[in-house]
Amino acid sequence: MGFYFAQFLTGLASASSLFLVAAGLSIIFGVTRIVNFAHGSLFMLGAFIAYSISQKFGFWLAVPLAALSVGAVGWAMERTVLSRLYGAPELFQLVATFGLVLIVQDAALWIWGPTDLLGPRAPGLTGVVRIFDQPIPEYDLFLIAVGVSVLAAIWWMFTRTRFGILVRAATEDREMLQALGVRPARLFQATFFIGAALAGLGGALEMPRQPASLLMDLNIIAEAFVVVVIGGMGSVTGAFLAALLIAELNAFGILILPEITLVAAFAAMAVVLVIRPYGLLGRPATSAPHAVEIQPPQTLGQTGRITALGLVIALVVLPFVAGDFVIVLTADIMIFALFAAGLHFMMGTGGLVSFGHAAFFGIGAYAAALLVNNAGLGMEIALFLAPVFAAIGAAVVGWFAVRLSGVYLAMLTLAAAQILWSASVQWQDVTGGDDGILGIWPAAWASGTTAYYYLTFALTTSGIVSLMMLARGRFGILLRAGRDAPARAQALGIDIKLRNWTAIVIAGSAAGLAGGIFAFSKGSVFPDTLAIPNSVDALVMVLLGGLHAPAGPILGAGVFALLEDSLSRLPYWRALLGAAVVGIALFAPGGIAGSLSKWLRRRREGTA
Amino acid sequence: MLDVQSIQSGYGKALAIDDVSFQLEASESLAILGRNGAGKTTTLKTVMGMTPAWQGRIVFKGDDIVNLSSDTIARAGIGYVPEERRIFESLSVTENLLTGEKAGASGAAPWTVERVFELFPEIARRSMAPAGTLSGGERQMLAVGRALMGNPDLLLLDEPSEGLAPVVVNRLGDALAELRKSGIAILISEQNRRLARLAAENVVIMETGRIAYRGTFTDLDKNPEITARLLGV
Repeated sequence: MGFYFAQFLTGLASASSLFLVAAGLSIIFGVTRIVNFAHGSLFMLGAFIAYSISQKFGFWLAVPLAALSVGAVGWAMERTVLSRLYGAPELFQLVATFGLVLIVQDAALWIWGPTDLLGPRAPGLTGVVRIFDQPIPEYDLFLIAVGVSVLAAIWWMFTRTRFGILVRAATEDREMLQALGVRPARLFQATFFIGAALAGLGGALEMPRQPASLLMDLNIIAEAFVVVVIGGMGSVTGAFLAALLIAELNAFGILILPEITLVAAFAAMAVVLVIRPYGLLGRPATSAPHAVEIQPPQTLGQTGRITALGLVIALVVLPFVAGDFVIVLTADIMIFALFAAGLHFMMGTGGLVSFGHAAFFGIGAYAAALLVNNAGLGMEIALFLAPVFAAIGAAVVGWFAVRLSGVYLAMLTLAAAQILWSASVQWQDVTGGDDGILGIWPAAWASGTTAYYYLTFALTTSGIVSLMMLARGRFGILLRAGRDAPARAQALGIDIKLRNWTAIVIAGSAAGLAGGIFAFSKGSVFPDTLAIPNSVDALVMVLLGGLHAPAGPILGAGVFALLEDSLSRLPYWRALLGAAVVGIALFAPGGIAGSLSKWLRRRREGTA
Repeated sequence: MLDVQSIQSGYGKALAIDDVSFQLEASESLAILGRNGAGKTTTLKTVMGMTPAWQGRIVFKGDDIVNLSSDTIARAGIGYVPEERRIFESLSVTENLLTGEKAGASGAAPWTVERVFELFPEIARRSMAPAGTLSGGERQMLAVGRALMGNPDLLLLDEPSEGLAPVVVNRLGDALAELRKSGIAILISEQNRRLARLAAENVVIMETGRIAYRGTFTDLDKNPEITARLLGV
């Protein structure tokens, strides 16, 4: 009995930090309608900044100062990047905050270095208290008290202060509030400051419990997303209940089966979403007015078709003229072009964002590897089944996501990818953990560099061409209708949810096929196929190429591969990528292809 | 006080109002009448900065306010009561009033929650209730009260009678007549002529986005054929 109570208290203590982060995320979303993917980064900054301050001024000064500093960082993010995107399509807001994750990640690496930093313990709270004869750390009890106090403070602010009333009003109808004379900019800045400070406080309070590390940002954001989705977007009390639920699930799940904790959170979320689609205390979001820039369908023009034909011929001829290095590099580009083409299909044509697209790439790669190594199947069947398994994964994630608004899909895919990545690292018996799975070689007939190159060429080209045809055809038209005018499309009898779901499954299977081909081309699979950087690469390729250009993913994959080859040796390559992502969202939403065609059009008009 | 000069506006590429001009002196009241789709709501929204004007000028108390942000226009002294009322449903009645609270452009702040409750005792009884539980008439009173909390010099009312029972419309008319006496200028768009009359002495009638008649209600009464042509169903 005493032991279980102790475990319960441990759960409550872990819930505190999770609640602080999720509450901040939820408040910011409520007012600005922006899902801040960089919120985990703010948590991480809280931990690092608290560590640095504590070295000079001690623990108790470090915690509040770190929270305030992180609040200031959040405020600066709002001023410099997000305030410019309030009218922009949701997709670019999400993408921009995601770019900030990469920038903060490298900034932290630059300032604090790669090693984990364990902060001091809290003076005065280093002992244990015996409850039911079980030792309970005093600090855990303190954390529980902080969590409850913050909930009370937020409740007080929301109901008793004018600022809180305005925040709640803004959550309902921002435009009306503005027409009453309230300056939205000030409200947004204050909200960002408070939300960020809460995340920073959460990070700072973790000091005695876990070292500040560069992995904190993505770990906590995946969990916080689950919490916010379970609790209901925009509901602080919901976030509190959900944080308790997840933390207790973890605390008790670990007693039964350590591996289960990873899946448990996701399973809990699935159950809640089935019963209450908007979360425990959430309400259907009144969608904020977004600038909908209706994108006319773009097809390859005369020049485009000639270029495509030239490209295909060049790819066929390549092995006769190039060396092994170029052949393998080109095959890699083709694999990533297929991966990106799937993402481009769902994002560009469907307006559906995935920030964890590597999840499906990784499922394909691991499925192929396990089918060959453990099930003893041949390469042909493995390559056939890889996209099937990825499609099943996409179907599960998509099933939940299409029932909710667009931001949920981005959150769910990111959380899914992060959980699969953790599973691939920890579930050593099956995945080999960090050592990966080795010795996955193609069948004898396809084992030469040139032979496998042609197999890659055939599979990726047919995949990309099918995607392009789908996007141009009836399916693509209906998908675009759902993207640009969901209410009208629905009134016309188009089942948008079904279309979107299908699009996600198609994109997932394209990624799975790419993952399968990738596994055989490398002969091995490692957890990083599932990791966030792999998702980011695909995202950057799509954005770089151009979200609404048919050739976008091919162009993007090609340019990205060349850039990566030359730039990835730079020490802060990820931050550069992040800056590029933010820059595209702010200044060149059309990507390379978009900017190019705009330039060409202007030139043509100029000469005519 | 308000000088709307030949404004043009619309949605997307569709023109909704064109060459709309009218003036309003301090403490004066003007009603905009017209059928559905005549451009009344667009006119009010354009004044409020919620729909961009493509052309024209809007001068309020000597300053050009055309296409300023709606919060700036509200702070200049215009209170807005939208057609759909748009009260904050999860907030209590009192909290709804507080969202509109600000000093008037002159710095004076005669309107308080208590004074709004004096004007509308109906909602005073429900001060702690979530606004989402109010009836249509109570919502309208709350929306008017919320706008008054900003101590405006000019009140824009967009079809306040819409969807309300006749007895509630009368009640609202009395309140608006009382407001007029207190010196607030009112610009009201209506289809209900009786309410419009209670709120205003001057009238413009809009038809397909343009002003088709301007005058006083007394003049309008002498010309029933105008009423029949522009407002008859």
